[in-house]
Order: sequence, then C-alpha cells, then structure tokens
Amino acid sequence: MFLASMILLLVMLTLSFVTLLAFSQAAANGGFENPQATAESIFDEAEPIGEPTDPNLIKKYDS
Amino acid sequence: MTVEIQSEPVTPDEAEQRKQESIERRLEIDRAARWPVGIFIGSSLVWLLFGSLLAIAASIKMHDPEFLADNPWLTFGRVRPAHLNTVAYGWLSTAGIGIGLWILSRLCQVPIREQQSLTLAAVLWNLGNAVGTWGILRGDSTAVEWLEYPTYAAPFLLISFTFVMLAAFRMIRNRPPGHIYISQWYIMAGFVWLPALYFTAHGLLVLAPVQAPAQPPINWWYAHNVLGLWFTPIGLEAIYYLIPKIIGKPIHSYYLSIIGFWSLAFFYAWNGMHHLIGGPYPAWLITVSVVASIMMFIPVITVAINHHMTMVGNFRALRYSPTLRFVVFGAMSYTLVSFQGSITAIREVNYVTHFTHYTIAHSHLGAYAFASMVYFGAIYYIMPRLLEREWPSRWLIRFHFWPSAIGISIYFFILSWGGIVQGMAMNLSDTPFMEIVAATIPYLKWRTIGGTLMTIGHLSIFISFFWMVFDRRYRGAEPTLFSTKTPETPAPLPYP
Repeated sequence: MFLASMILLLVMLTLSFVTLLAFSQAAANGGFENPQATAESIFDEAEPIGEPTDPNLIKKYDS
Repeated sequence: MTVEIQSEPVTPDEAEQRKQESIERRLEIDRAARWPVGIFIGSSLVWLLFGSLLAIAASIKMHDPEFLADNPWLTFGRVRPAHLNTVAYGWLSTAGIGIGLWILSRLCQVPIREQQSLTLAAVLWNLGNAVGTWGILRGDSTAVEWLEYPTYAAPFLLISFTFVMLAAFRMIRNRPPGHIYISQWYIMAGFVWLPALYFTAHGLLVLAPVQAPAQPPINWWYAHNVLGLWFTPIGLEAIYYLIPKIIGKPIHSYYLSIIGFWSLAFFYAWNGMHHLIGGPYPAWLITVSVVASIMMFIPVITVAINHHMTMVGNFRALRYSPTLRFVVFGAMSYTLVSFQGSITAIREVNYVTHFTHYTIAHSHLGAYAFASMVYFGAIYYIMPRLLEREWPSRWLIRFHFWPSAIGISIYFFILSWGGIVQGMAMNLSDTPFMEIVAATIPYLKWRTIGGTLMTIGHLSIFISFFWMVFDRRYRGAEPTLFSTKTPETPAPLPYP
C-alpha cells in the first residue's frame, strides 16, 4: 500500500511539473501575447479568414 | 469577402504559390493521418452502435425486468455497466483520441509520422475495450462505477495510450515556433489528464484498494473528472477549432478562451465530491466541492460567450452545414449541462435530485447532447478530408441528426422531470418505496423511446461511414448538403 502511494505521488508530481513546464514554455515563447494573432493562427492562405471551409457555405456566402 | 492574413504585400503569383503550398501541406497532413485516425473513428462507431444496443436492453429492463433475464450474460447488473464502459471508453474515448490527433496534427502543421505505432495503438485500445466488455458480460466486473473493466483490460489501454501520448508530444515539440491555439491546450491537457485519472483511480480502487470509507470519494473524483477533464476538453477543442474554420471567422475573444481553459483546469478537479452530499464525510470536503462547482460558472460563461459571439451573424449557416449543426447543438448543450451541474451541486437541490433518474438525465446531457453531438460534427468534418471524398448521402446525415436530437431531448426532459417527482416522493417518509418505483415507470418507458431514437441515428452514421469507406465507386465530387436548395454548380472543395 505504501509503495503504491509513493508511486502515485511520484506520478502526480511529475504531471504537475509537466503542466508547469508547458505553461512556462508557452509564456516564454510568447504564447499569451497578441491573442488576436493566436486566434487567427488557424487560418492560412488556403483557408483564409472570411472564407468558410464547409463547401456548401462557400457557395452560399458568395451568392 | 476574403481577408488576407498576410500583412506584407505579395504579388498575385506569390499569393497563389503560397496557397498551393498550404494546400499541399494540408494534404500531406491528412494523408498521414488517414489510417490511424480513420481506425480510431471507424472503430468508435462500432462501439457506439454496440453500446447503444446494450443501453436499450438495460433501459427496457428498467420497466420490464423479465426482458432477457434468463441469460446470465444479459442480466441488468452486467448489461448496464457494459453499456456505460462501451460508450465511455469504446465510443467517446476512441473517437476523442482520433479527433484529437487529427486536430492536433492540423494545428501543429506536423504530419503524423507514427502511423504504425498509432495503428497498433488503435488495435490495442479496441482489444482492451473488447476484453473489458467481455469481462463485464461474463461477470468479472470490478463493481467500481466507471471502472468496471477487469484489471486484465487495463494493460491494453495503458500501452495504447502511451503510444498516443508519445505521438501527441512529438507533434507539439516539432510544431513551427509561435502560437499555441486554445484547442492544442485542451487536447494536450486531455491526453495527460485521462491516463492520470484512470490509472490513479484504478490503482487505488482496484489494484491496491484503499480502506472502504476512502473509496467513494476517489470513485467520484474519477467518475466526475472523466467527464470534465477528458470528454469536455476533447469536445471543447473540437468546438474551438470547427466553428471558426467552418464559418471562416476567428473566435470572438482569445483571452476568454484562455480564462476558460485555466479555470476549468483549476476548479473542475474539485467537483466530484458533491455526489457525496448527505454521506458520512467531513463537511469541509463536500463544501469545497460545492464551491468549486459554483465556480464552474466562470469557464462555462466564458466559453458560452465566446461560442455565441463567434456565431453571431452566421446562424443561417446552420441550415446548410451538417458539421456546424451538430457542433452548435453540442456547444449549447455544454452550457446547459454545466449550468445544471452547478445548480445541482447546491445542497437544497441535491436533497431532491440525489439517487434519482435526474442524475442519469444530467449525465446523458453531458455525455451525449454535448460530447457525442460535437464528436459527430467533428467526424462529419474530418472524414471527407481524410478520405478525399464526400459523404454519400445527405439524407442519412439528416436521419442521424433529427432522431438523435429529438431522442436526447425526450430522454433529458422527461427523465429529469421523472427524477424530480421521484426525489420529492422519496423525501416523504410515509410513501411506500414500491409506489415510487411504480410511479417512475411511465418516465422509464419514455427513456426507452428516446434511447431507441438515438440508436436509429447511430445506425445512420454507421451506414454512412462504412458506405463512404468501402464504396469506392462513389467519389462524391459534390459537397453533402442539408438543404435541398443546392447551388446549380458544385461548390469547390477545399482540397484539390
């Protein structure tokens, strides 16, 4: 039981560390700066803002 | 109408070249994902149908106990947990892994390189589900709710999910420097939270069980968190990706999405103890959970505002886009189920609804009206891009949406009402228990009707999927529309 508890504690500490590391890496790399650019980052030249990606909507919106 | 996101001036030739490069990159990503993601999604639909049949059997048994009662493999005590586990791990988790991997690959702009290990992961994951379900039906259930799969199913799930996590971390590590979109946060969090929850709870409740009084808090910590820290992140990442992509509009506020994510991460893990209101546990333990449940209004309101404001001006798109209709239905249900969950955690409300069918209606609102409907929408979006062909029939998609939407509505509203009637009656100490049981039977029959309608919808997507995969004569050059008022000429597909 003690061994199981220690293993689980180690797992939880590792996960907490990974979360903190991910957060700090994101912050250091500017992940929380310029939120508008991040919101637009899923669009590109082939699927730009203003152009629906559901094929039928492309036609509907153009008409 | 098109707005270029590139700020520097480019010539038309350069713009066209960039567009072609972008299309080719996306094609490479989708083709790399075809096998592993396709297997995860396809097998999840098999589990969905199987789990639905188990659900109907269990539901009929609630008002007709003699139904299939002669076969020990099909008694209520086996069929009901088999349903729960096949839909939780076979359907929702399998589809969630596939959807998460595809969206992560798209957002990281990194093709999946681990086709073999992820295909093996999909096989092992399904093997784990098959062994686990077989174990439950043969009477080997652990009897721990949400963790009924016998211990011998767990290694398959563990090895499989390790492969999935390795692939996900590699994609994150190899992505181009720059932004991490909110969907990536949700996917990675879900991919870390699920194994942490599952194997912690499995260890403490099944492998090396803690003392009996400590087991219910751990059980509810797990059962509640698997909804909020696994199904919810996968559902929300799909919503945050699909709504903007489908309508071509960035999310309303990225700040709100960040607040929503971190407040979910901080508050949700404390929620499960509100299931123990009235139980023999320290008052502070329950109170902390009630407070955390009320604090869930913060992420839910931020997500609701974000989704609604993103959709404003685009609601007419719901008439045409199958994906959008499923996803928006799911997004609205997320708001409803979360508000309901917070209110149900208040002691005065819980005294009535606890131990009643109201809780079952609530869990189906979350697992089905929210998570499953979003997953359906995601599957309708992903599969044409994976296979480079369209869905074969708009009628089948329509015949999926309406029975599912009507079915879950009947299920939720009637069973919630029945649960309140049941709870109020149970709080009257002079009412004979069997009278209360008899009074709930009409509601339980409506539950079977609702569940049957949902299963009809599942049959539709099942047929659609395998028709699309195996009928190679049909290339589907035209988009699959909901509306019959289609344009005279086919609209261009987003891929060549």
